[in-house]
Amino acid sequence: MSQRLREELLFMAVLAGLMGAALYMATGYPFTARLMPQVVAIAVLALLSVESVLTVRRYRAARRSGDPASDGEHVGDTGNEPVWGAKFRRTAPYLGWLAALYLGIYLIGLTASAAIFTVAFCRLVGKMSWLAALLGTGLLMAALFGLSEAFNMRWPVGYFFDPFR
Amino acid sequence: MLAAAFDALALVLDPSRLVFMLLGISVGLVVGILPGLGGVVGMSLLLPFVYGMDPHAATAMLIGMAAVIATADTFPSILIGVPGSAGSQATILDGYPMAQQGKAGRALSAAFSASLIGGLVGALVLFAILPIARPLVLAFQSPHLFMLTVLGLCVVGLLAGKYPFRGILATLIGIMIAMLGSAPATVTFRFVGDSIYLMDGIPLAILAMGLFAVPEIIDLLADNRAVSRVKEVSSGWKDGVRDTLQNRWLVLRSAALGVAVGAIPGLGGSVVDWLSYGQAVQSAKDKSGFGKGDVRGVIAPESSNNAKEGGSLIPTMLFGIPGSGTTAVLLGGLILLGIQPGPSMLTSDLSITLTIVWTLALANVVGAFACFLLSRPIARLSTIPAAKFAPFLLIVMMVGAYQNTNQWGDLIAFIVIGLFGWLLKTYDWPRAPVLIGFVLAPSIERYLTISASRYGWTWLTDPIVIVIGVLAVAVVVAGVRAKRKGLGES
Amino acid sequence: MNNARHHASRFARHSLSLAVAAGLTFGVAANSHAELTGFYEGETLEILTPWAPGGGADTWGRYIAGTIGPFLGDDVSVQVVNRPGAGGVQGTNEFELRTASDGMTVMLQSAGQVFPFMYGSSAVRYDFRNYEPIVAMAQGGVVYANAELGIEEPHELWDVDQLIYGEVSPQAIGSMTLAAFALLDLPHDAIFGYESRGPARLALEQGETNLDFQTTSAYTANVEPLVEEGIAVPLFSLGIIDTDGELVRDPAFPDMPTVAEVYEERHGEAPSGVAWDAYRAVLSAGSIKMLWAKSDAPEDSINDLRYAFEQARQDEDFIADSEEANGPYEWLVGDDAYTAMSATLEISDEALDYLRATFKERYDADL
Repeated sequence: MSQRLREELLFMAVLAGLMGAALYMATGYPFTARLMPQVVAIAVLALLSVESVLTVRRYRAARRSGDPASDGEHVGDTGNEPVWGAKFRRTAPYLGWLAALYLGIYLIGLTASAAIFTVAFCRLVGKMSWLAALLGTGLLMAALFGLSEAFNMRWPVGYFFDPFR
Repeated sequence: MLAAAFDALALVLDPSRLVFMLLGISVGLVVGILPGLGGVVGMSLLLPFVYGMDPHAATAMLIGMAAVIATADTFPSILIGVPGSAGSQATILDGYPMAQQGKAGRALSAAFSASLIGGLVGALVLFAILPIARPLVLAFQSPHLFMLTVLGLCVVGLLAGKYPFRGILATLIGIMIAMLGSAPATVTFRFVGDSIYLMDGIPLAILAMGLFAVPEIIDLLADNRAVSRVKEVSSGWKDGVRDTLQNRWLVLRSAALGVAVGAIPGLGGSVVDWLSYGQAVQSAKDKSGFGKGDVRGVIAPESSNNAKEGGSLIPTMLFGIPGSGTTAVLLGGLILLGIQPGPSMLTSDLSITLTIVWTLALANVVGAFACFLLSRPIARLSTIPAAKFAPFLLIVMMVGAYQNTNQWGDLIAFIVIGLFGWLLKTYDWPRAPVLIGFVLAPSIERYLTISASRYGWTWLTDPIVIVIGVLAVAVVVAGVRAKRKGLGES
Repeated sequence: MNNARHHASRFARHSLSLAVAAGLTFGVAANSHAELTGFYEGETLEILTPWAPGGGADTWGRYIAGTIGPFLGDDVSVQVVNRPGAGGVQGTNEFELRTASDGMTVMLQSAGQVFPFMYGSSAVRYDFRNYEPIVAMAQGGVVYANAELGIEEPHELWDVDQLIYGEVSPQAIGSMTLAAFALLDLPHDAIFGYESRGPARLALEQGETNLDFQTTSAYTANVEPLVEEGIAVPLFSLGIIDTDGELVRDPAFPDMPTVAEVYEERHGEAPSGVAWDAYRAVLSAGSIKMLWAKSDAPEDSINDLRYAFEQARQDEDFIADSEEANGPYEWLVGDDAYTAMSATLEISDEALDYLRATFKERYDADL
């Protein structure tokens, strides 16, 4: 079994688990409230079992016909590449950036972390010049400031402080 | 009524009022272009200024804002594959592939010209049928509304992609996501435990951005490339306009559909573009290009989502029943101005009604031209490597997401759905059906509950129900056929 | 940031506020709004509105924001801040847990947060009884029927074969009508699931239902034309709770009997007992909109707010405007506001049990 097929089946298993949980949770609801989610969840479970069989068969057929895309890693081709492996290694840094941004927002609020995030990302990943990075960030900050002043829009405030508030 | 119409035009064109309309249009353009922000946010931004304003100026401002959103929200849909607001979800399906092929300019120009015509048709129809629309709106009872939502759901059959089972599954998963939160007709909160955030369910804007934007940004960054896979981007201005003119019947048909669906209270504007897209696929002789950058897949939804605004004002003004979130806030604004929407909109408040019609028309023209002017510089976005614009886009989207309820839950839902969408994309599951299921689920459940508890089973024999049912089956059959043909070719 | 200044101004006016403080020390506040202290001068008062913009309560809040400023002092701006979520519970929880007690924020109450509070929802973190009442307004509504039923008077309702009433959910604002039906012991079928009262009205016009309720503003704009056309027939009003906590005729419909009068006509005596208590609790929960301040907010702020509304309700222009926008309903200030609301806030366990049992039996709903 190729890594990709294993992942796809795992994905479907997780979906099935969620549906099972939904079925279980819905048992306590009044009839009108549980009818629709229960019917849909059962349909999803049934279709998932069909789809998992179809998926396995598709992979087998592809292997028989010698389609190289069914296993192995292919950079740049999102078609049949498994997540675990090269794709994850390519993607992980950006997921890390995202996590850092969220942590920043949680700790010091959106405005401050957005400013730090954009400058850092533009410099380190975008390889932009200091001028361009600061200019872009400045424009973004000005836009945020304008929106909050003119229209009373709000952003998340940090756990500790929000220097721009 | 014509004389009154020209009096109203003079009212609207009075410079002191025109300024407010232009202000509304500019806010609408900004709100439309920024992903995650839509009509509701735009209305909320303008509402604080309304109290005490001249009623004509204030309505011109609010309507001007609402009218251009459906034009401006095309930018993110085409350029980065993110729906700019609820109305332009279907535009992604073909608009984004066009941008990837370097045809962003052409797609945008086709979209804007279609929007322009659709918007004008919407305003015209609004004017023409307002006096006679009352019985039309009253014709649709709960069983009919139920069947119309089912019809909308069947459109999924036309877009299901390579694996039909996955299309159906994705729709059902969308329905299950919509089940989060309060259930209609009872006081039950489903599947939310103690989370107060989830009690209202996931906001549509967040689901749409999460499903489409986050996966796209992650993959663009990981592959270190720009949206457009080709270096050179042809401007394609004239081509786009020519596309629209060549498909003029499609434009008009989509506009008519947009007005009609918009006018039915309770169906909601967010289905319009999907229905319109389905209609375009179904009526096309050569269906093979859809989903891969067929310009008709851009023209149809864009025409109908502008026309929808005219339609959704019919129940709002005649019955005081908002047809969408945007018109709900508009309703509040009108009440603040001392105008109680209802039958009086055709008698004592007629001048306000006509102001709304004129504003709708003027704003569509102004908005389309503004977008044309903006499109050349903004279209270049599709050739810039993602690493240079991703951080800004991400922040803008998070700010947009946060405006939905101003809770941390917005940001968490955004990223959780984003990762889920990324898995769907990676494992080759279609994402559009998730959105359709999500949008239609509340109406399906609501109208099924009402139909069953009011009519038992007898509603199934209603002639209109049967007609729509047959139509729904026809859509599914056409979808399956198109799929077979498509499979035969590959 | 502004706290320092407030403190300063508070000390400066200490002697003045003593009198106010005396009135506030026990229980519910007294109506001791002596004169304006100028607490809000040059400041912005925020009205925390726990719903998205556009609804009836939000519009009421915005009406206040647009009109009360001059009564609060020079250069006072008043702003509506929307914090939607969970039907109003989220924003009100936030008011309880996170809003500073600096007097700069008042909270708008309407049916959305009151029903979960009254029924003891686990999501609720607030208790209105711990807040200071500022101002309230009770706005009623009318129960009417489709003319095809062929009835003209409320007492004929009991002769109709099938009454079909359209409703949003058993805990929505229309549950005032359901409680009225329970009090009157009126047999009917309730169809739940309509998106809001607007579509329910449409359903009556279509003949999908034949009995409906609309609030005053919606009734005046959209049902009265139907009555004139002979499509709808008005039956009775829900009534209004006055400053003594009594149910009186709705000033917007002085010729229409109230629920209590319909009851009296049928039974020969005024309504009383647990069903009557339950009805009044649901009625004040559903029909009263109110502003509350935090009880530990500066006394001057509470004094000024009450004083401003007291002045406003005596101002002819203000009242004329208000009648146009809100209907001919009274502004109840301070204690009066609390009294009007007390049927809900101090509902007895018996009345609650009665409501739960009735709604369970009739509609299979767990309140």
